Amino acid sequence: MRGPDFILRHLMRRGLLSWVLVRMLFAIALFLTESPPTANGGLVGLGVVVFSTLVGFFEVRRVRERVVLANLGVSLLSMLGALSLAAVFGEILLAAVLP
Amino acid sequence: MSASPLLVADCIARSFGERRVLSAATLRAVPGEVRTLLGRSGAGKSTLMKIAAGWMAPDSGVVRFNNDARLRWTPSALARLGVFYLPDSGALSPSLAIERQMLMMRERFPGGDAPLQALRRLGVEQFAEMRPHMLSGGEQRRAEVAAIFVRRPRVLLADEPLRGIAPIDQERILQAFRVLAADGCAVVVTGHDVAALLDGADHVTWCTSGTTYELGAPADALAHHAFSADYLGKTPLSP
Repeated sequence: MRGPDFILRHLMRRGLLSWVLVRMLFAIALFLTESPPTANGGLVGLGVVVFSTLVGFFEVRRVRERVVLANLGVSLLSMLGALSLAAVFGEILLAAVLP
Repeated sequence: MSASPLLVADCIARSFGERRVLSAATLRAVPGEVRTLLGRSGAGKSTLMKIAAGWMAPDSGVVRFNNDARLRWTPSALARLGVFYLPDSGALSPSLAIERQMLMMRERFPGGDAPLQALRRLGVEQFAEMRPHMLSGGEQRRAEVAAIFVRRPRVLLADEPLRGIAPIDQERILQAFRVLAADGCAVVVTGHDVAALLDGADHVTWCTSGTTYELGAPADALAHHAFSADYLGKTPLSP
């Protein structure tokens, strides 16, 4: 277990949870507005990635982990990368599966 | 004679909207010394510490580490060079056990104390498996200071580490800072627990009216008329 690797994996899990949350909210919004499934375009996917990364980032900011990570020498860029990874893969997977 | 400073936040100015908090303030972290930065609430102590640690950009002025001057460093870049920032809100994550966080630190930066040895120094080894939020304020602070022994930084910036904790814990934490300084670490500590801080410090810096004054040794600070009148409220204090 390498220190930053471990905490980056922790961030990836948090990113995954944020992505699931944002995707669910988006699905509910599509259902309520009776939008067609084709509303799931590439731009929407990008928006979901950005939004879920931001949700994860503000959660991390709130719970001090940014200070922990910075004291471990983990840069902001690595942190955002780890947070967005699950969303990126999730969106690629969805784009491949959904019509 | 003092060694030359390792980290200097030099001639820092910083405003928040219309309010100018710092206009020409300087913070120096000198290896082997515990320096205390004193000043009234709102004087800009925490702002100056955040700027020195890379957490905030100054409006003007530079931050120098080992004579490498930049307008702004990133906190992670400074951490890799050996700067440890202990904010008043805490430096351990509530989502992981204390020992686990210390192991991460040790794996990333080997050379410091083993986690249990560090926790034992501060008398909190029984909390190794717990998460920080399960501890009292004083225990949490001691665990955070123990983490500093695992990291063994070259510079420690501790923002109000004695706030809201019992005198016996304050004493233990200040003693730990003295040990770090004796090993060559440059320690800068802020707070309002004047008697305790003066007791544990080698040098006093007074932050007031947007600037800083180097008052020297605690005895010299206590003899400083303006410092005594404007900050201590003329309360006589023995060093």
